Amino acid sequence: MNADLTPLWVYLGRDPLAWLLLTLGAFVLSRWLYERAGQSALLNPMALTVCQLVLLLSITGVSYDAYFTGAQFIHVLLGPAVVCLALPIWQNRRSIRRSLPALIPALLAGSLVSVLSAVGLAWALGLDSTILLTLVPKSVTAPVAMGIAQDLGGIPELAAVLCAVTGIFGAIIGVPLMTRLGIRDARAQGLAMGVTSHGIGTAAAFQVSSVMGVYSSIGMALNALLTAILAGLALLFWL
Amino acid sequence: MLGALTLIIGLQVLGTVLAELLALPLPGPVLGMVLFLLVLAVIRRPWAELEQVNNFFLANLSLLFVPAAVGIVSHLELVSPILGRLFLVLLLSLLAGLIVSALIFARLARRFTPASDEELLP
Repeated sequence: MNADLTPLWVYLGRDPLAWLLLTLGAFVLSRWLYERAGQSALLNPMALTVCQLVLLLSITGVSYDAYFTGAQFIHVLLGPAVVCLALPIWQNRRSIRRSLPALIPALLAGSLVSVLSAVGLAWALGLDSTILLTLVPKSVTAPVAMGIAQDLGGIPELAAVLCAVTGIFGAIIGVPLMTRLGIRDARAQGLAMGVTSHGIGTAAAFQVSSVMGVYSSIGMALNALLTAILAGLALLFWL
Repeated sequence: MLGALTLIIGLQVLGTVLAELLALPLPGPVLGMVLFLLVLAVIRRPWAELEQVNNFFLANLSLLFVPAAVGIVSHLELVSPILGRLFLVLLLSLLAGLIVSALIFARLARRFTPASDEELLP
């Protein structure tokens, strides 16, 4: 870094607002790139933002704790955002009620397969138990996933990253894959997107059709609830 | 605006307090979501501002988990040697989850709850 700028940098680096601004700025820039690229799933705004900030912190040697003094003002809003998942469920309660005979088995199976296949594969590949526990909520929306990972004894920050990677994969391959399998019911595709790829998959689902987006929101919300309950029960009885 | 925000944050805090008091195995915000569903069942129709604030949160969901995900910088040494295996696990598990839940939904829906025209993809 330029010698003349160093004092200014050190000064700004101590101000929490600087990190809040950088987080918002990186996100706005990432979203702009994403829009410019025709909403390409490969340029997922959240993933781009995280890459920029990780790179910045690595280069400048600023600690995560220092960064978090500013970023916490965004972080605290995660909880209220989870509460907000209730509204799309309520607004579509009639369609959901009608779909329950298909929705509930698909949710249970999708949720269990996601958790068990991830933990089983990771175990088979020789990953250690902290990683296995962190993988449990990888298909759950990140704010809830972090809580689950923490309760189970995994690593919350890693859980958030695994969720983001899963969501990005899902946003890229989900709809083309299911269409190739001959599934034309938007509710089925939407639910599968939400259950496996949470918020990032839901954003992709809304781009295809509003029905798909709504079912993806429901899948995301119910899977968050279900995985939290399953993890809680696992903690009570087995771990 | 503020009324809606107060309700949403209040429900989360209430959820956290209840989860703690009753020793429920649920994160506070998830219980808050359940409480919000109960509130909606009582008031039936969310007022316009509540809907606006709610949509603002959901539209910017991905920004909200940036600070947490950046926490990976503290775990880079742990993750870099297993990156390939982690990605493989995530990809295969995703494929399994997608295929299983979409196929089960589609099969059961065909029998019990056929899709309306607007629920079918072109």
